[in-house]
Amino acid sequence: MRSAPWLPLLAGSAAATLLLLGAVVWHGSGFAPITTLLGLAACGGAAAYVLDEESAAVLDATPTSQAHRVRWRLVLVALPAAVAMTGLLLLDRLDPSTHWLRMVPFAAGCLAIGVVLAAVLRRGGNRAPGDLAGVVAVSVVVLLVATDPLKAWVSVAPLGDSGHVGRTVALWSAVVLVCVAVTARCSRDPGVPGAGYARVAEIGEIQA
Amino acid sequence: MTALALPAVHDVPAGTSVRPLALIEARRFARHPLFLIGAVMCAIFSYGHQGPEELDYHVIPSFFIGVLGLVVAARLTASTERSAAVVDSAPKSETVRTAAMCLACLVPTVTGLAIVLMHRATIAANPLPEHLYGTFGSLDRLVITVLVPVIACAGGPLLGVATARWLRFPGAPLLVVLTVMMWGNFSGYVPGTSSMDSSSLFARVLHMASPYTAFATGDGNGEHISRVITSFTGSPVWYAVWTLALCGLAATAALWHGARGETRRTVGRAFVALVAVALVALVLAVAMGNQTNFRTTEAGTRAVALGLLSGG
Repeated sequence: MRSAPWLPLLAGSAAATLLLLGAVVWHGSGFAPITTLLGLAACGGAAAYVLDEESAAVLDATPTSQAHRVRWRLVLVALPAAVAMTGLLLLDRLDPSTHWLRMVPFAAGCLAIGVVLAAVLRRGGNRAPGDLAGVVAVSVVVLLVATDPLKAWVSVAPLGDSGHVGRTVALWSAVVLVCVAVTARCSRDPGVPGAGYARVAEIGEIQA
Repeated sequence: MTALALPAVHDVPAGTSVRPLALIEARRFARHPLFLIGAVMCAIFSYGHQGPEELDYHVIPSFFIGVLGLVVAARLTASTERSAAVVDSAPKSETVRTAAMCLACLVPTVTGLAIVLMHRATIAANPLPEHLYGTFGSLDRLVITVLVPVIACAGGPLLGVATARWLRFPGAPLLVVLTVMMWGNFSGYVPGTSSMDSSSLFARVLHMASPYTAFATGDGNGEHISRVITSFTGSPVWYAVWTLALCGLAATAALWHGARGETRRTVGRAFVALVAVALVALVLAVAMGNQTNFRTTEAGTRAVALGLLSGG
């Protein structure tokens, strides 16, 4: 935890807090949805920093596996998640007609997208992918909301009287599950033997 | 004894030529995956009229090339900082390296120009109804749909270079991107679509004093074209000059970092001059062009003071 990237995580969470605060202040205006969406996207951007390890080359030589370190790092996602939930709860309290809590799956999806982008870039050799993954996460979220590519079947941001709320929950749940699976896959220690190793080892023992 | 003729040795001054380094940085920029993905996405969304409103088209190059280019430029600039101990012993000063990086920002600029021209060609092949252009004449339309997005394609990366030079902490590019997006959204749409009086001086200044702004909005939703176009306040021509001055300010701010002696004084004078140009352009952008919102339909145009959410 001491080696965690607290500065960008706190900075990103602070930016998200300011944006959600703006939405709370201007709740009921047309400005609030835009600010909220950007605030939730910023939470995803902040989550992208949790896997940064500048000294990865040193850490990889320690007995603590990468998977173990990643599991501990994922605890830090609780910070931007708390920012997102607090903002949505406040908004729902002040403006219940907009059904702000429907954005909770969207918020979870933003966080998952940030983490999975960081995990993939990290697997590709970038030991501190937060800057790149954070901005790409924000961009992806903004693009999804702006284009709403599946609007005929499901809305990615079901605010107000929009329908297909159940489908939206299913969509973002699927996104989160896929992101979790990909993150787990990318967080395995490099060089860890796969299933075929046991067979190879067995053949080696027979020949010996 | 053998006489050995050696070629005359000429003293080579400390490197001041930017061109070779600029070409290297330009190649790095052009090969960066994020820039390539942004350029491809921009081209896809620029083919034909896929929405948003034609007068809002500049959001596409501004986002895909300007915003993503900001991150690319910041990362490329910061990558040399990580090797500063070695790079500083090279004959090129930091100012020269920064100038090379600024020149490399021509890559996203030219890419944006090519994509914008492609978009204009596809629109020209299938012209849009006149009312979709609101109150803007031919020059304003050219500025809004060609000049403004190309300037954004240059300004984003230049801001990225300045960010990498001055904000050297993890998370800086993300914070700058969020700030620019929030500022642009707020200034671009709030004065024209909220209960704010769009004809008030405050609303008009707020609308123009931004690195990104909107010039119109419509009621189209992708299933039908807009029937009503609301043209916002301000002069697109002078707004383009204002954003161009902002690009220059970003470049001079980046060059100021690490500059010494006469170079520093020259950059400082350029910065002051650009601030003056920016202020004059901003004043003219607010003072000229539409002074209030206008609503245009096929039937005609009428003025509105309050935004869409307040009726009128």
